[in-house]
Amino acid sequence: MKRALLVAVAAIAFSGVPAMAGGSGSGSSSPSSSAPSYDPVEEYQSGVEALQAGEYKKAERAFKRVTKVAKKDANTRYMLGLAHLGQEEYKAAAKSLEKAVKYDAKLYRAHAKLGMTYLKLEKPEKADQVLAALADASMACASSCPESADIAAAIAEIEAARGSAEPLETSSLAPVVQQVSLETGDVLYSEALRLINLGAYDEAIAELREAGTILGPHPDVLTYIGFANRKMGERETALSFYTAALSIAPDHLSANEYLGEYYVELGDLDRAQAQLDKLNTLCPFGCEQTEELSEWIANART
Amino acid sequence: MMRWALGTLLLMGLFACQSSSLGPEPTEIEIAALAWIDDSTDAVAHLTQQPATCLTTPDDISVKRGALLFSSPLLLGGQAAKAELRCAACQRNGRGNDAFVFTGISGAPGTADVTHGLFSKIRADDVFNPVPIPDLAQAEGRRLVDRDAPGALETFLSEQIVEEFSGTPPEDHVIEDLAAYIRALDEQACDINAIEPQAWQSEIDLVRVTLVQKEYSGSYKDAMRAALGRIHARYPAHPEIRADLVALSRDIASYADLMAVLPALDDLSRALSAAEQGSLYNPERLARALR
Repeated sequence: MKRALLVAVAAIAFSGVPAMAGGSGSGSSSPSSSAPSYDPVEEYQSGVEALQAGEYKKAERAFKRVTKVAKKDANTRYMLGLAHLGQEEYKAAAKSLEKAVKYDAKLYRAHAKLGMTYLKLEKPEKADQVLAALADASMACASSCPESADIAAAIAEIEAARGSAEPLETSSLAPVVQQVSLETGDVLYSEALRLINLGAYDEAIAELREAGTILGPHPDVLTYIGFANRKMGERETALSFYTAALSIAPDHLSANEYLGEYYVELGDLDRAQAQLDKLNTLCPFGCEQTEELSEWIANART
Repeated sequence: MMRWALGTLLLMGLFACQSSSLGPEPTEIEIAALAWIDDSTDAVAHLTQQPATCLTTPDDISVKRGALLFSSPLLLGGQAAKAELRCAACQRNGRGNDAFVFTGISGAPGTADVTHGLFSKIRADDVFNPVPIPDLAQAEGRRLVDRDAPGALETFLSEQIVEEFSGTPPEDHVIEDLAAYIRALDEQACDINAIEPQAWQSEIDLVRVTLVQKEYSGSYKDAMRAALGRIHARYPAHPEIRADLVALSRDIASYADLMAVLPALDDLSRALSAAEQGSLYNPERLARALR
């Protein structure tokens, strides 16, 4: 049953859109509805609730549990950073936020918090490095990419603090996490799949990133971030997201399908066939993911 | 005291017998349609009942094959198929679905944006404009296309599959069977407000009818396998039945002459019947599983 959530696909459905995504090996249409078999999502969401309630230690514990499964999930590292900030643990916060921006260079809210944290730690040169990275991103973006507003906001926040003669107040780093329904995450996911269908991959990734902030490291969301990146030619990034999705849900239908397509693109048909064999096992009554990967492999062999 | 103890023992024994014949209580529900039900809907009723069958020629072979195809996700392709959506998800038993909710596609329950880019870019219009899902047996559904004009319904159906969804163009005989089914839907053929139980028997009947045709395209095999999958989802407490369903599905996928699987289908029917009370076609069983 749909609670107020999840995506799509997916799907992911998803799946149900991404319920459409065929998440968690099912055909659920939305990520939130397929979450029960996926512990990191529940842990993530309980961590967000704890953050909103100001229970920072509890939030820290929840996000740390998520990182044991979703080691390279940028949103989780960002949230863990916020949990540390709430406890005024600035060194630990910086460490988490550094990982957040390392795992997703476009998570600009993490850049902003990292720059501010460096200032709190009296490391202005490091804050300047963050500003420089943001300036580069702004140049590359040229105000036309979906994240341009986030970049501008991050730069403004750090520059305002950098320019102040007063020491950075602890309150300025206190975590503020808005309450957003899971359904909003589902709608974002659904919208992302629509954008992917239309070939608007950049915009889709921005929507998926936002969905991931709400839903956590859901395999539907991770799968389609990987898919959109692959369509943009970012194959290594795509592989990392497929791998992340499969580390959480090894039987995820769409992640397995798209990993197979990735292998076809590399010309590695043996590995693609192995993915197809796996899908055939996972779908004893047939599924779209098997059909699509079969077609990819057949086309590559002719 | 003695009589009380004896009564308790008898009750415990009866309960144990009943539990073992029903199989263990399922801990996970895999019924795909559960994902598309509005929260305010009685899920048990929705998943165990459906609008009455309203067919002018219910025994026509082409109509039956069309009904089976109408429930095949792979006919639609793309994201819809990945979500296991099928025509019958919106038009249950060819009728309507007031409880249908699909995130991003639906507005109020029972509506869908048929020009949403999620399912296909061909008809995507960038406007969120969900419309009520029509009952195909009633005037609202019959108005969608002139069913009497030669070829009009066939063209309409083919375009729906390819343009509204992302399906591959269906073969002519697939469209002919679907069209026969749609043409047979008529409110004059039933009590329009009646409901009937959902049952494995009707799924098996459609599979059996489709098995005995002489030529099988992939679409029919897909539809038969999907029907077996839906039954599989209703028997979570019966691993042997589930294994038989999987084996039958794999045989259908690989055999050229599907008449060879008829004996297995007969055996399966007997097993399904014997275990029916323990299945999720049983409303009481489903209600407990949903708690």
